[in-house]
Amino acid sequence: MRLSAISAALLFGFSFAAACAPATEPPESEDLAEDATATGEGVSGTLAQGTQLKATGNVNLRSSASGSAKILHVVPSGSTVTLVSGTPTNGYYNVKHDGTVGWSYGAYYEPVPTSGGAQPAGATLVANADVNLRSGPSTSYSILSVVTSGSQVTLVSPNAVDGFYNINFAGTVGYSSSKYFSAASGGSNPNPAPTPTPDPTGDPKVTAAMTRAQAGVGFSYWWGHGRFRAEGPNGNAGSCSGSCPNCSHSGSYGADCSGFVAKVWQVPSNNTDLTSDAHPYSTADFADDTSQWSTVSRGNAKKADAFVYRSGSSGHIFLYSSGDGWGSMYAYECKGCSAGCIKGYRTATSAYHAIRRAGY
Amino acid sequence: MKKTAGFALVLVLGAGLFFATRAPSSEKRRPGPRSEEPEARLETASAAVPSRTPARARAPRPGANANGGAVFRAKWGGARDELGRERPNEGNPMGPMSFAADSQGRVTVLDGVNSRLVRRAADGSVEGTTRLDVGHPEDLAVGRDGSSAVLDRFSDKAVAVYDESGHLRGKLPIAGEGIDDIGSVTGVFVDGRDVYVEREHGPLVKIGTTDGAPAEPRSEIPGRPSRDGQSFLKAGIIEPAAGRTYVTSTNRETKEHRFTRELRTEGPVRTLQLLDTDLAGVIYFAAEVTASESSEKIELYCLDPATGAPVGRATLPVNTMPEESFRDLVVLDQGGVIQALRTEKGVSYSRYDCE
Repeated sequence: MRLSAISAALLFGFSFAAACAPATEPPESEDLAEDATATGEGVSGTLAQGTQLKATGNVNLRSSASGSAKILHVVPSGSTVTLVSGTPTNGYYNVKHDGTVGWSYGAYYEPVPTSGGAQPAGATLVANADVNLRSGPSTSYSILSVVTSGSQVTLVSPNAVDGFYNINFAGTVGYSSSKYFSAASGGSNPNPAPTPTPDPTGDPKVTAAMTRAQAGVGFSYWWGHGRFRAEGPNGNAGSCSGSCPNCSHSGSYGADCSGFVAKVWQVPSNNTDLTSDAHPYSTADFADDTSQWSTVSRGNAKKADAFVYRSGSSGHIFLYSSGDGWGSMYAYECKGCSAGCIKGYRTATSAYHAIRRAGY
Repeated sequence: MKKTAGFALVLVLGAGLFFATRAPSSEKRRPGPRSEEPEARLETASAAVPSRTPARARAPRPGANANGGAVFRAKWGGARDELGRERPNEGNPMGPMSFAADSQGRVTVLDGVNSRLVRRAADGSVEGTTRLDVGHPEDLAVGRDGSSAVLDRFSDKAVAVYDESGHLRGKLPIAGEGIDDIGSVTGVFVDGRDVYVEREHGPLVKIGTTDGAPAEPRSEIPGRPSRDGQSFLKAGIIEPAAGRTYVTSTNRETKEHRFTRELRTEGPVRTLQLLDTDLAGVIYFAAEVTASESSEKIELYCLDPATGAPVGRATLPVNTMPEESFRDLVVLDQGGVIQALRTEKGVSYSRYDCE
């Protein structure tokens, strides 16, 4: 009785100790609400559609362009939104944030600076907003002109000075804040067909590669091959059945995962004809760095990089295009017989590592 | 004898006192009202539901498995009690891509490699299988009426709906109003009799009903519906490297914004893994966090349904096998989470509770 009482008490005490053990420290968390005042200069005027803006404070995303409109959610400070339309209404821009489209006040945003760091001298940039052209690299210098939104300028010097690009605008050389510019599409196209989809923020080589990737979508999975058409399947998709490599394929076009990436990346350098069947590398090759591609940090992956895994005699590779608000990856890939060559969101565990083609 | 009895009494009282001082830990963690409420916050105050701190989030349910306790395991293969895995040479590796739990605690696994659904009873035993009629199944949701909705973006480009007996009720086309790009779909959901697909982890587009009829017109809701019927939820990563994430809630009835809660994880965030609720409305949110290249974990948080404030948490292991997956974490109606964890030998389904 005594023992059982003590045992019960001990057990009781132990149980409570277990149930009420000090919980792990909760995460830092904060209930977000729109900041009372905008901290940055904000954006105003007509901007280019598709321009990315960064929230400089917590800001409401509303159902329409009014301060009394319903709040959809709060865009947290530091988040990136994409302009659905470049023309503001009452100072509100129509933006998309993590899949939700709404209206947000321009005073709480700044343009996302040109990605990729230094641009080569001679590169063409496009202005995302009306921006001053000054005689020197700070706002204390005199204003020479205003570069209007959408105008193209030429970079005189590759590196920004204190956040200012040295540019040539319509014959006038001066300095403008780099955060109002994006790289313009254009330049030489290593793959004349198909025509690249304009991408105002893209490197021409990367843009061309993604256009080739898009051309491959809809073709069948064809184990050990790589061949498709610039205009897309149009009745030439082919078909695959079974479980590869013991699968059967019909038709003259298609690719497996590595044949697809080799064609998109144009590796080796003579693999430039989309319609010519080629399968120069397997995932065993792509898994190791070469002079043609090398490993990059997953966190720094950018458009047209690839994710590859190889384990034993198995492997897969896909082309990265972009990420969504959950860190899922929008990918182009030839998955297998049942799916074929597709584009869409997917996940990839740490078994995969990211690689980048030389020159991209 | 008196001393012994007294010792026991002290022990019991001590335990009770300890409990009394520790029990409302979730209350203590919830931030109090701020003295300077910004205007935007005041606008939404009326939309808030009464704050609740369900027992589920305070401590593990009596009798529940310790965190990580296996509900069931399956070896790789095609037998009745096995689950399929395929690791092709030059193709996408696949295993069970998704699973779902119903109100009775039964778990249905999407065994795509074997083209079937496998239903396990609450005790883990195999109850039955359903042959699938789609070529590339990726995600699964189950309805309260026992129906199953299976997402196939790339082969049939449809959501196949099955009744509880496994009969195909119909296939709901994915493409259409609200879904221009079927690759943008990030999951399938069943809410009542409605079947939705999610676009880019954002809004959900109603594509039909569990009786297999396509929706006309196709309406949208702003996020994932909570199981208590009170909210729509959405989440996202703000800055991956800084471990900044957010969860936002909208009042389902009024469509008013309820809260947007920023959560900071203990390391850089790679992906978000879970956003769902239990029947009481407790929000379950999980993120895969990388402390270093060789150190990764899943941080699971339980959040108050009214404010989004954390009321509990747990740490889970990360899937490191190359097989692609749509859904590795599923919330149970009564609270708690089941995780699918793949190894070279097979896959285990284990339960975790916030503490």
